Amino acid sequence: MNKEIISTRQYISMIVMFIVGTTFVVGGQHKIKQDAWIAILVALIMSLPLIFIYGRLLRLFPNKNLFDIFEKVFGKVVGKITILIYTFYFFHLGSLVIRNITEFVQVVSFPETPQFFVALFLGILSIYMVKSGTEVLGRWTEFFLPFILFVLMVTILLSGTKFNFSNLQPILYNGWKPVISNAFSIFFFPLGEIVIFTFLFDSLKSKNSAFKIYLLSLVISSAIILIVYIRNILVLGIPNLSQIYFPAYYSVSLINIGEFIQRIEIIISIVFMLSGFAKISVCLLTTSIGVSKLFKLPDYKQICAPISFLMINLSIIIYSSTMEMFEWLEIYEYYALPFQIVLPLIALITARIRIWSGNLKVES
Amino acid sequence: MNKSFILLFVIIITSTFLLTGCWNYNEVEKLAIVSGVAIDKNEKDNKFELTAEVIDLKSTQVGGRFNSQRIQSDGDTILDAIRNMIKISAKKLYWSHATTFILSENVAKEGILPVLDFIARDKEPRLSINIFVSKEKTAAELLSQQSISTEIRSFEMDYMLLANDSLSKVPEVQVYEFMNDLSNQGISPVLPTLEITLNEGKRTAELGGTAVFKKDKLAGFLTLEDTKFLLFVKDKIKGGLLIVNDKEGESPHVVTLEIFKNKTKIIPNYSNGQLSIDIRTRTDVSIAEEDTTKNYIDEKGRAELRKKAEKYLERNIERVIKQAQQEFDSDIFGFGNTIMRKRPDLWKEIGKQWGSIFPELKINVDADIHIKSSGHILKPIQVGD
Amino acid sequence: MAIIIFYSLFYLTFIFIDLIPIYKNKQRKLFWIYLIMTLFSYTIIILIGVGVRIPSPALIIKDVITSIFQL
Repeated sequence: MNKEIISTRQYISMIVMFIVGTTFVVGGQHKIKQDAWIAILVALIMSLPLIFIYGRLLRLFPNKNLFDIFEKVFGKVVGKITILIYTFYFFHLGSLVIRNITEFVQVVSFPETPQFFVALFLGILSIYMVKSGTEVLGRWTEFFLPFILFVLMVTILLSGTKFNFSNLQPILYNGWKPVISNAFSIFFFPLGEIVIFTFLFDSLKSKNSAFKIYLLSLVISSAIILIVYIRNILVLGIPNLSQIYFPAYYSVSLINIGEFIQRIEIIISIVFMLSGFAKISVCLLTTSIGVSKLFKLPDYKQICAPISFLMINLSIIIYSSTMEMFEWLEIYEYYALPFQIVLPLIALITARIRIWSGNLKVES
Repeated sequence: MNKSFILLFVIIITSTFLLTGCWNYNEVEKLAIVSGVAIDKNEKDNKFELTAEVIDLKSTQVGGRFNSQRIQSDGDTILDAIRNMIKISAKKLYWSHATTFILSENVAKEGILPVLDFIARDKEPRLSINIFVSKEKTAAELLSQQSISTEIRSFEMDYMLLANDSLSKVPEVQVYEFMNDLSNQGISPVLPTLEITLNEGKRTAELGGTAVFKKDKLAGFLTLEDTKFLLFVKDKIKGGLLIVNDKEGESPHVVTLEIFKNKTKIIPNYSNGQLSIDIRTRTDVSIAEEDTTKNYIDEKGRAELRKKAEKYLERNIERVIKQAQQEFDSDIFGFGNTIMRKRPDLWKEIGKQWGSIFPELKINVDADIHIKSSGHILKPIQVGD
Repeated sequence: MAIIIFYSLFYLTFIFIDLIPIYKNKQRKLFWIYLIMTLFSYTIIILIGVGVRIPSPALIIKDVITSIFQL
């Protein structure tokens, strides 16, 4: 398997598109209300120790991704078990994203088109993307990210006439507790999902510190999410936010400039699809890499098709209604805890102990 | 290699045949594009009666002037009535271009939630739809009147609201704003009303003032003039006229002031367990017309005019607020909401009793009017012999 | 029914593109893994197409988590 190289900028674009990905589809602002912006900033600060752990781990084992690191640190057997666990996590995540996108399309645009049909095309495209390799994925996100940012900024500016700043008041009406608990939710979804990129770190060409790269990516992503959330609050107001499924979509649908620029919310659908697709591709990519490591296959690209089949299958059966999809969010934070925090932390501690006791040889 | 290419080719060709249909394909001819709808309720059999104004596509081929038709149907619920329209129109209604919903008084009195639910839940209607309450006996008749500027009545009503900036006699409320005011604490929503008047002997629709809601049910109406003062309190004045009557002095005369801008501040005061609200307005006006030779333009005159105008504004704002307190018992000004936003700790204490606090609330109004100019005339027109 | 038709085309394409070359290259292990995964997912698609309700693992995970964390 040839070594695939992507530039730092491509890596960061991938991360930003991934994190922004389905945030506006299922991230929802249903509980966060007017202090959402505070919650996001708190979540960003909370994620600092997390990416510090990732940075440390990656620095101890240069040019390796987390799959290899787990095997080195935990030994063959336990390492393989950990890889299996993470492979399932990414597989599950990919199906969730497919389901989020198909659900969104069905609710907002095509109620009668069955979801398996949209899922089919998402699957085909992501197979194509993964078979083309990490480099293509990096270049694709590098190309599309500015487009997405441009669309988001333009729609925010166009809705400026509908801003009602009193919607932000009163600040901290319910105190800090709901803000902290919401910050936790944002921390796990979407920020904490950056863990998936530690499994792709070996494709990065430069030797920059992982911590700095992840920090920059998180800051950019949080800024985007922050601005869009604030726009939603300013336009729609708090009572509407807790009722509407997709607030970003609806705030844009209210734009009506001179009877000419109206009903442009379809561009938001396109943006969601693009970033959701990037997210699915990354999940498929890491799952394929994980499977190829488990079965000692030479090339992950050959196995990505059946993995994609199974991902689509799961996305069809995993929920029976839109409501279930949103209810899942409530427990996602607990579900993601071991993958995002616990296992990497244990790996770091174990690595340190083994190095200290001379058990582990590390290339410097 | 060859085999997979052939298979791919076959799949692509079949897809182009199958996918051009898709599942939700809508052909324009099969759609009835709704521009607005009037919702009535039949008291006898408790059914909703809908009159939808549909854009007539046949006429576009002839001239370029759009015409509209009306389709009526009834049903047990609003969605039921909408689907029943297919019985007459043979086309499925398409709501994405609808701008106007007119409700009859009965529907508004019974509660507006069924209407809001349809607009919010269904993906076609936009949240920027305007809702009106009809002051005539039914809502449907408003859609059959002669229209002045454009053939399609619903769009005309939409334009009327857009032009309201210079009129300031009617509240502009889109559905999402209405939903906010309804669900938010400490504020009750309002809607503009429509009535029928005679223009050149023909009946046509005109804006009629405000419909006041208490929670989700209609509580009463405000006239056009009173609506202006409501808009003053809500800081929604963008233009309009202040007509100041001067009944004292030698002969009664009238001065008309044109409003350029207005800023209203609402300040809650809480001292010694007594809650009161200060309303401070600052308005820039110009003298637009007067029917007298008395000079209001020189300094002395301006000061006098200013005092008169300020008193006029203060008096009327207080009057309208009292009406809301006593007659409607509904906080349409959003005083409670302002307290919640500016003094959240205070609101946490008294918020639950807002229903009983509001009617007794003490209000102080302080109007501040600045006369900026007087048109092109320096002195009033003098009348010689 | 429609789901089965579309997905059959889908699976058939990838069998041609992927599986046949793998077989020709004599990559035994990969071939079997690929085949088993594909057959498994195809079976699920047929079951879905026929109407069988497949339980969602999400519900199981949800139950496990709610009981662990005593929500």
